[in-house]
Amino acid sequence: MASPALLSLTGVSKSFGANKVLKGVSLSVQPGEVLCLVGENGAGKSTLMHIIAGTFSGNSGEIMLDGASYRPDSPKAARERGVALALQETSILPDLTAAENVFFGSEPRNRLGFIDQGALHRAAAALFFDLGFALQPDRLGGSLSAAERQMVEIAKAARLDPKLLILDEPTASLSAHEANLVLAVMRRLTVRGGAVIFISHRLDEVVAAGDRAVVLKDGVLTLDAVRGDFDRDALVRAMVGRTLTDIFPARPAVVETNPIRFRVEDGQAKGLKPISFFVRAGGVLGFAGLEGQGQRPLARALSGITAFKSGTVSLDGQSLALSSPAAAIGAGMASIPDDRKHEGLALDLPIKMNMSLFALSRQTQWGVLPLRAEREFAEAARERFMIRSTDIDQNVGQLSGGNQQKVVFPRWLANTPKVLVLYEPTKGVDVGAKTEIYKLVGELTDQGVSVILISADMLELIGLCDRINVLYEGAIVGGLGHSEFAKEEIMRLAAGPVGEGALHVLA
Amino acid sequence: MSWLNGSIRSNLSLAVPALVLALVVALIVGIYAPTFLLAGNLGNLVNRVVPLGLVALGEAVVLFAGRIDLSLGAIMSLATALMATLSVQIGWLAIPEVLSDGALCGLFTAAGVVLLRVNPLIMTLATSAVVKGATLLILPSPGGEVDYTWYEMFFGMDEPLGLPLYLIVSIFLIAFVVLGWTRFGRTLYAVGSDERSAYANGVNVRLMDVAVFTIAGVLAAGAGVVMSIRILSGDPLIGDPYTLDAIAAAVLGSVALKGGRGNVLGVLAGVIALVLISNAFNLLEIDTNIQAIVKGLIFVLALVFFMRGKAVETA
Repeated sequence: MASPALLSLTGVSKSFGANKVLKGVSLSVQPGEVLCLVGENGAGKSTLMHIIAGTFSGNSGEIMLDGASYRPDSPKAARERGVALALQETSILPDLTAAENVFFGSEPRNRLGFIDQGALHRAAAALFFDLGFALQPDRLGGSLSAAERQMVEIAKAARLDPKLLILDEPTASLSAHEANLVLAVMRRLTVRGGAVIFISHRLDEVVAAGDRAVVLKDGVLTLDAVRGDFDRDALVRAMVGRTLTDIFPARPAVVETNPIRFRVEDGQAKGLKPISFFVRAGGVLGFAGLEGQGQRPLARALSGITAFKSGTVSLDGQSLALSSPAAAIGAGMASIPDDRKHEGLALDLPIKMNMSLFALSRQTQWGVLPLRAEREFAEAARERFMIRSTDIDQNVGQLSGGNQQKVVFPRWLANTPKVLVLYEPTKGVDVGAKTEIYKLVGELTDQGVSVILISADMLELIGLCDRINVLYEGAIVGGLGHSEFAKEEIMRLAAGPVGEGALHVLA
Repeated sequence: MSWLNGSIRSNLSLAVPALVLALVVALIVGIYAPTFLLAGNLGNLVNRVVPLGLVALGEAVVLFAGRIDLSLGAIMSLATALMATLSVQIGWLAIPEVLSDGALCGLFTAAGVVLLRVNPLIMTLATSAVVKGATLLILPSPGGEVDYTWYEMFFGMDEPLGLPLYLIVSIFLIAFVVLGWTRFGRTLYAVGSDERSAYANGVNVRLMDVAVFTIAGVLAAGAGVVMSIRILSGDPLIGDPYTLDAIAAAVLGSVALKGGRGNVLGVLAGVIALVLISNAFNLLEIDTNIQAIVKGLIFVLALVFFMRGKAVETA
């Protein structure tokens, strides 16, 4: 790298109170480069990013931008120097159009001072075209998909043609196909000489898109390598000090003679064509697929929220009506939803109450739950799941995403279920917490629990499942046994029966 | 028509059902009650549209921002009571005085919402109680006086084309432009659309709270000023039904109770529809208590029919 660095950090440290979050971080970003920043939740990624974007100041160490000293004291100051931060999709205004969202707060105005709606939408259309987004500027924010929201967020940041664009987990909630669109935009920006700092939990993307990767662990840089000098294993090792294979539990092959625990035959629901599958005792059945191919209806049908309209369901050979969540729970089916915040957790209640909700109904006396039982249960669960919190009285809303997810588990596992349905169990969760969740799946299957895992995370499916079914447009288009697992094969099925066109986009 | 692009167009299209409703009601009433189209009755209709229109506009501004204000009827009553006591003492100055008192009521609400973080629904209920108590202290029963010359000047001979019509049309036009084509309006809708996103986009949400409740207070006081001139006195309870009527007019005009959606022209159409319906009841000589029951049911129906879009989309 002979060219001078666009951005260089030398010995940057930052503390919040007594907590040292960054300890002497040094790194540099070249013009036209995609720098991937990887690390577990709490490793200091966001702090570093917010220092560069001007949200936090008061750090020690030296930062240079374009050869000049750089110390932004606000996001606005950073933007004026050409550094923009695209937040996660959460700041889209649903009742304004995509164009109005992009220009919110700096709308073009005519001579009378009124907003020029025509110019605004034309400018947005030009910007979207320039970035390669196929997005109608007059679509309302609320009608945009997660990927489109992310595009609007990126367009907002890219509008000012920044020298350095920071993308904070832009792909976290996207399907593989949508994530590829975002990666394509990053390439487009770098071709024009801009640099991108890309933060992601998805290591495949980091390997695919990163010209350089840096890994933060506990506030220290543990890896700084250019393309070709790092792979997934190297990243994981630098993040957690373990290799990838270690994070999945070693599970014995499920014996074909194990009894069939749970079976669905011709189960049909809205968004789901009649599907049939079964899972043996102690087995893990996976469902793969692109986003929106019937995963959600399947998860909701299995949890009893929106029951199957037709078909039969049986558990241990007994037919079962999954007509309501209560019926499902009563039969021994536990479901952990993907939308924890809305369907799984009461964010304003303490950890102990979230854990004990429904879980301890068998321990009530005359309908009253002994508080001591709740406390003991919660303390034990916090220890078992290694939930990082001050104590069990802390509100769940204050925990990090990964720790929130861990709070959901004990509730369903207080009475060991017969079947556990997991829907995107590790979405937005760091590698450490993922490992815990995977370990738990291993423990449960050892006890004979059957697990149905619906996930977009290919590694997770391959690492945990005995068999993977692939969903496409609400139907199972293929099933792979353990020996046939390969990402390419799953992708080929997920892209649909014809495959060719879609596969091209995925590649 | 590129100036109508974007969210303005989608919000404007929300006003269509209310316009159709107003036309249909006008048609039905016109057929069954021939006196309806007489100039005298039309003038009377305009005079009724003005106070409800002002309160409904204030309510709509609050609703666009995703808040609700249950104190506007009480503020309107207070304004009539103040007018009935002040106008004889200080003349024209009573009007700015009363309007700024309306602003103070709004600021009181805003203080509770912003500083004490009280839910707007509860806070405005409290404001309503406080304002009502103050009103009854000032004017325990209907009375006081507003000079008849004021009536002549404002309402003239109750002809349809007069000052009241010009006032209400120009106020709604100004609101239409300000809410649609200024950054203030855009910010207002943004707060109602998603408060947290608006904050993340750099909006000063607290300042917007102060703005909307103050504007609503001033408009409600304006409605009281007009009402006191019409009845030539003050009435400490006259504003009571206006709170619900204003919300009903906004809902009929497809303003989302969750905020972020709707257009003031729809609100005006909703106001006209409501006034026509109650005028029809009067022309058909239906008992006022029955009218109240029917109005409540209309409100529920309006909620069912006009709120569905928003409820479905956010699910």
